[in-house]
Amino acid sequence: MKWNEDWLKANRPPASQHPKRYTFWPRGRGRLIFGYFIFITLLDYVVLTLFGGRPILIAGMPLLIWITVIFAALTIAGILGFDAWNKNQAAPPVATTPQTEDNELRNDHELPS
Amino acid sequence: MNFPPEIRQLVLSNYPMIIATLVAYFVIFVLISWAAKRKLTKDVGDYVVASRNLGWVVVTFTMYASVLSGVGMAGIPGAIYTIGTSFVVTALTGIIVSTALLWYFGPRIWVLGKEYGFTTPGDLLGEYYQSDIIRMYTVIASLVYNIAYIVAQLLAGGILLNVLSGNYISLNMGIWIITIVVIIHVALAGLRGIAWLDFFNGALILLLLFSFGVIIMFAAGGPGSVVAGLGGIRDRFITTPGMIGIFTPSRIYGVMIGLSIGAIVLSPSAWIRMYSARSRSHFAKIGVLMLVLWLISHVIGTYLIGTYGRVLFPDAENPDFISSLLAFGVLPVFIATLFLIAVLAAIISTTDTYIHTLTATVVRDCIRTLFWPTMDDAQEFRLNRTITIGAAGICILLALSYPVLITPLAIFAGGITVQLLPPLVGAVTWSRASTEAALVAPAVGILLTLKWDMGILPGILPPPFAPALPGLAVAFFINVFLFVVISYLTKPQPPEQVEKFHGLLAKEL
Repeated sequence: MKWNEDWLKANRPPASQHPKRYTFWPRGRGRLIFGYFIFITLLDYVVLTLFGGRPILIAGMPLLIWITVIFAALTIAGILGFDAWNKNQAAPPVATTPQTEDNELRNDHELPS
Repeated sequence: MNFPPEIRQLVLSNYPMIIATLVAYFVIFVLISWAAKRKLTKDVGDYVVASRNLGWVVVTFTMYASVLSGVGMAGIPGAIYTIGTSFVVTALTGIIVSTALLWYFGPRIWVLGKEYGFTTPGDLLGEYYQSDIIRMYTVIASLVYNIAYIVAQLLAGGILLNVLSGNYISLNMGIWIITIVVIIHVALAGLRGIAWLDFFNGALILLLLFSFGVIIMFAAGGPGSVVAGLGGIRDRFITTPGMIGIFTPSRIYGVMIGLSIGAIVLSPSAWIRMYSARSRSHFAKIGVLMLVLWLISHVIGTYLIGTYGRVLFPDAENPDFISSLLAFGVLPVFIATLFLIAVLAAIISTTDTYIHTLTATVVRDCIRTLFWPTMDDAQEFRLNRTITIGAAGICILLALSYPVLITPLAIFAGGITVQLLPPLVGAVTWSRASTEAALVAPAVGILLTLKWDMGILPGILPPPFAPALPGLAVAFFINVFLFVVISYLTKPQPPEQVEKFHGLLAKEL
């Protein structure tokens, strides 16, 4: 049996020499994106805690459902907004599997013919 | 587990129409499988990840249909029936958080997979941490997750075929039929065939769930009338902590970790679909469309089904059957039949996806890596097809031996795969993570989940802070805590390894 634990043989530098470039908390735009999603998640939790126990119906649907739908709408807005922002800021072209770019739109909806 | 007798009676009285609908579904199934087979090459990459060439709509629907399964069509309406609105909020909250995580991790997994030819979770984590033990964690997670789901689906599918055939097909025979159909489909058509079938099944499921909800609203006189019909339990049903008194916001967030994040983002099948997308720029569209599909399914579909089921059948013996019971109670017989076919479609979509994933991870991460490193792609392709039969055989035996409840099993299965999140964060985001941390923390998380959620390990630890948080959530947080602490106490990855992964991602994204 060929069992590899190559990390035991690897030359790993001490933590003091580790590059600080790739951190969990990104810088600049990335930090804003992280902050937005953490904020709306915490907001959802707080609103569920404060108002989730109230038996209120709005247009026939419980308040709990509306809270969650608004959380979903904020998430969709965040993803679409930040994705568009990222694309506008990005200089290099988008990486795509070769030979298929021209057929992308057609194949997006591809089903057996 | 038996179908309610009144449904059996209705099926028998509409037998020819039901059989014709069932046959029509399987004809479409065979046509899709045949069309996908014509496109399949002898390349293992085509079989496992469809040559990384699936469009975003197909990827979205295959993720939606395979995760929805019998859990979404039967289990979640049953849980809403029992627990109340809190449970649909639990499911949706998990899907919302998962959508954001999918948008974040999807492009990173895709870029690494394309650059280094990864096709399984074990490829990525085993390569980054340079450890076959960590690769084996992904195999264990795949085995537990996929087998748990497949067993539940086979059992539910067997019961459904038994009912749809008017008792002509026995439960055991139904399990065998579904398994054989799925084996042939997976072996012949690979991931492309699975994805195309999922597209059809997903569209069918979505249409039926939406129609079901709309017809309920017409039958009851609007969504407010559905809730009003709950009578004395109305206020408890539509608020936290729900009918059983424990679904507080912290429990909602705790359960969703397993129910949704584990299934939608960290399950091996979701991971393989991230590799199979055509472009890394597609993940925003995939996430948003998937969230919209789930919102329609749950807000209009499962919520109204579970709630109206509680109104019409307050004493149902088995909540997992409430959607089927209600279908024949409020829908025209033909639509009710189509709904049961859609449940069967969801079951098949999940079973084919998970058998394919189970096989791919075992062959690539276990057999090829450890026992047969000289295996070429053609041999791996053939072995995938062969192992599919063995894996399906084991699942049949388990399905016949251990009848299980759907939703608790799904939450537990997701609770296992979500333990892979910290090592994934280390491989694509936080370069300070160490191999020691990736070795210890997920193992502790998996063991504590087995102990606290399944009770199958001997008791040396007391139960966690229940009922505020479920055991799997506490196990996950302990995993995260250990991962960070051990990483800071040990040496990070070699610089060349960090550049190979994090450097590439910084350049590409």
